[in-house]
Amino acid sequence: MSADLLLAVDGLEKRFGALKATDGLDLEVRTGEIHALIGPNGAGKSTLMKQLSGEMKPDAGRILFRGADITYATAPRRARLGIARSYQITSIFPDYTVLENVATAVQMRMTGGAGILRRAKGDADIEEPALKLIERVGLSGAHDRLASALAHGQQRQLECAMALALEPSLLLLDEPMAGMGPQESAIMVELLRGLRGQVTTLLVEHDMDAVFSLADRITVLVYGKAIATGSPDEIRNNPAVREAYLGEEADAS
Amino acid sequence: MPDGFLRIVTLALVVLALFFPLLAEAGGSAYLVPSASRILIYALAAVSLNLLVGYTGLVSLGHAAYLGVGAYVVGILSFHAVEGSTIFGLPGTVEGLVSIPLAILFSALVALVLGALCLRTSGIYFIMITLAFAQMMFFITVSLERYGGDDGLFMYAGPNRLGPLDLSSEWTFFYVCLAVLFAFLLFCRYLVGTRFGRALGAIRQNEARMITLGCNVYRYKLAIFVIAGAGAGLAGALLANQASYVSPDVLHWTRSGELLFMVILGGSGTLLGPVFGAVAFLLLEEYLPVLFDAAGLELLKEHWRIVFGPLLIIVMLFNRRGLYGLLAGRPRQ
Amino acid sequence: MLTGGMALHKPSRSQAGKNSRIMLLFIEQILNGLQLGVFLFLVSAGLTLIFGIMGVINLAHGSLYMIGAYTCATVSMASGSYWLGFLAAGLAAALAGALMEVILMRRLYRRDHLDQVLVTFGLILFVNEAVTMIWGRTPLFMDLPQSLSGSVEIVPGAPYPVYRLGVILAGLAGAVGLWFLISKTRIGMLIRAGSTNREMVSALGVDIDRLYTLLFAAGAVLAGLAGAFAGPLVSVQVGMGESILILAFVVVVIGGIGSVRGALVGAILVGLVDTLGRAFLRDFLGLFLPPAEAAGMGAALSSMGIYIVMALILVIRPKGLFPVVAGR
Repeated sequence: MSADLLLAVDGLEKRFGALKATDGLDLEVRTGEIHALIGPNGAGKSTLMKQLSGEMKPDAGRILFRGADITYATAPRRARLGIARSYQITSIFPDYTVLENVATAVQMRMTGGAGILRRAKGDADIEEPALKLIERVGLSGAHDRLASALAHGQQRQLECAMALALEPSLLLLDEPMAGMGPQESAIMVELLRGLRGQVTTLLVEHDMDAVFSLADRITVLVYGKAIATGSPDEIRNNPAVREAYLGEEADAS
Repeated sequence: MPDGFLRIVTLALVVLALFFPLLAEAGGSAYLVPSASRILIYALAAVSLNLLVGYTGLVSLGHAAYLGVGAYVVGILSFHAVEGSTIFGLPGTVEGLVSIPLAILFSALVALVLGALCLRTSGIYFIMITLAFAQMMFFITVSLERYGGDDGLFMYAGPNRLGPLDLSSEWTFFYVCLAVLFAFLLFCRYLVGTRFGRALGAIRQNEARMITLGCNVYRYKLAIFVIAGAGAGLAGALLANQASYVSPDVLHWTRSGELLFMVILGGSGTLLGPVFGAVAFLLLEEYLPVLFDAAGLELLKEHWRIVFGPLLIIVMLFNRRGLYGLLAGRPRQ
Repeated sequence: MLTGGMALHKPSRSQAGKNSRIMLLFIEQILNGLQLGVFLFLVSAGLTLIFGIMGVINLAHGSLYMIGAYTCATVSMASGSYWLGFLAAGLAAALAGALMEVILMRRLYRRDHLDQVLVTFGLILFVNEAVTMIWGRTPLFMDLPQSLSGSVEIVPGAPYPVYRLGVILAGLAGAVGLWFLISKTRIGMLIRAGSTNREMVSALGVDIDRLYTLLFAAGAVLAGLAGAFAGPLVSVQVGMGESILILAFVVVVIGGIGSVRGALVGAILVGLVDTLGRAFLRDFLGLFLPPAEAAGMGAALSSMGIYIVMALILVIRPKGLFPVVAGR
């Protein structure tokens, strides 16, 4: 295994009754890259993300992270190893302020014996990094607002900040731009672009403009299998991909 | 500190509590002091349950079990002290400075064992299983033939001593209960303000997210389950001293339901809500029959629960935020 | 408890006679355990279906059992016919169940479990007090139906009351009927579909509200009939519903929420463990311990028995023996 390989998925399988949601899937994510995962609805993208984050157990195959087998590691264990994820459906703490949300995530990274009984509000150890993250995702000024009161796009930005708070070495982003208007999407694209080279990102996204402008490499998923992997140009010109996916998408739009 | 109308009500209650024995005596109703102590004790138990229900989102329907363990520890130690016999090779005692910490310790231990099992489940399962294990504790106390079984255990030595304090004095006991409740409230306020407390609130709001943030939610939940059990054990120890009597009745499952009601009625997830809830619930229980009597409704005086039940239902259906929310006005934006 | 089987046998001098006496006692206790299991199944089946399909926890389910018992006792004593009482118990429970659903439960489907617990807790207070107002605080004792008051010898030398045997058979028949209803009929299909996809079923033109009311009433009938069966065996009194309800919770936790099969297995298991524990644990401990301690520990342990079983099963399978997989 080469040194710059962060995540390797090897022959992964997940069945739901007769349906194979993941069907002998192979995937490699290199350190530092933004790797996009695309494919038509029902290709098994979300199922794959869940297996990578540990929320779902695969039926067969292996997942290697930095060369170590994490196929059956629990979700909290993977989080501590450095895999963080954001959700397709916004998953935040609605009754907490933006700052409290991010500070909670920061605190989970620092999880320590004694610190746990320290007063959380005003604790610089967790609030300073949290405020920096809030600024980084473009939410400065909103840190005192309740998360539930934010606009949809802002909630997605908050999600990002929470995932980044874990200082992950691999960030799993499940449709970060779902349900966003063009303006909000543009902010998110800029945000993700800023992460390139700092955080390795595996991105599932339907917004093709965003994917092709952001991704270093793209893997195309159809019926639980990876049919092609390559640079945006290679994928754009791959006949199999055009037939299976892009053509269909072009018809739809 | 809450503000507005709520602040006035809170302050009024605090002042009333501080001078209650004096006022009761002056008004010729000194007999009310033990009842007031009882309210304080149940408030303490409700506050401890609120740590689970309100702050962590764990609906325990078996909290009376820990109340019972605390009460029985005090009762059994007193029994052996009177009898002059030993338990596990140790003599009994009527010294509260020994028996009350032991009561807290034992209820925490029981909470640790039962919590470790119950917390493997969630949702409806958790509700049912906490109720089931509490019922087990109930039957265990019924089967304790030596300690009175079904009939319960009289503490012939009367209430404990507490160092220099004599808990058989109604005034002393009242102020001890008040001080304990106040201390426990301060402790809870501190606890929910810590990183630990913030993590608990996050677990309540979105447990799945906490797991993917790397949180071992089981350990957090077990920790608060044990703390809440210990709090209830402390309340149980006081309850035994209040009545100089312990019986399986303390662990009856309806007691768990009532505690849950106090929490929600007062306002779950707020510091003082459960105290308001306990006061309102117990006053209603005590004075509803009196009220019907005064109104000349003989039938309802005897069967006041036929009104009480639907009253609780209506409150639950239409007032989601409890008395505390009602007094506090609008929620924070 | 519900079992009150008495073992009256002539004392026998020979060792062989003693052994066979123990054997007969054992058989009798197994039957008693089965009978408790059947009661528990009838109560738990409705409970687990309502949990599984509507997602509602109903503490007042035990009240339906009590209503069944009281109605059966009253009607059969007034009319002299147990069967008339039995019929009335089913009707009364169905009516009470349907009312409960329409007036209260319907408002709770979308609420969280905490609200459901508290509202149905309030309902218990109300029903218990209403029953006290109507029937008073003195327990009712009803006679066995004339036609079933004898006993039969299942094995030579072991007489067993016909009525208790009948209860076991009727309960098992009920289990088979319920299984058939759910897995083989159109209603059962709708029920199973409704539990996973409310919108789809209502899109098929089925009135979900009515389906739920009917289902609730059906669960109530099962509980009410269990109450009617229990009537002649226990004292009919206020609070009888709650003790069986908590046992039914144990059954449902063991079996897995929403699983009728799990309810059957769990009910029989709980019935047997509880009955056999109470009957034999004390003697068993007596083999190792002095009598006084054996009695004390036996009493404590046998009252813990079913909860220990529940804990063990939970450690191995947190979702019960037959977890229902949510369709998705």
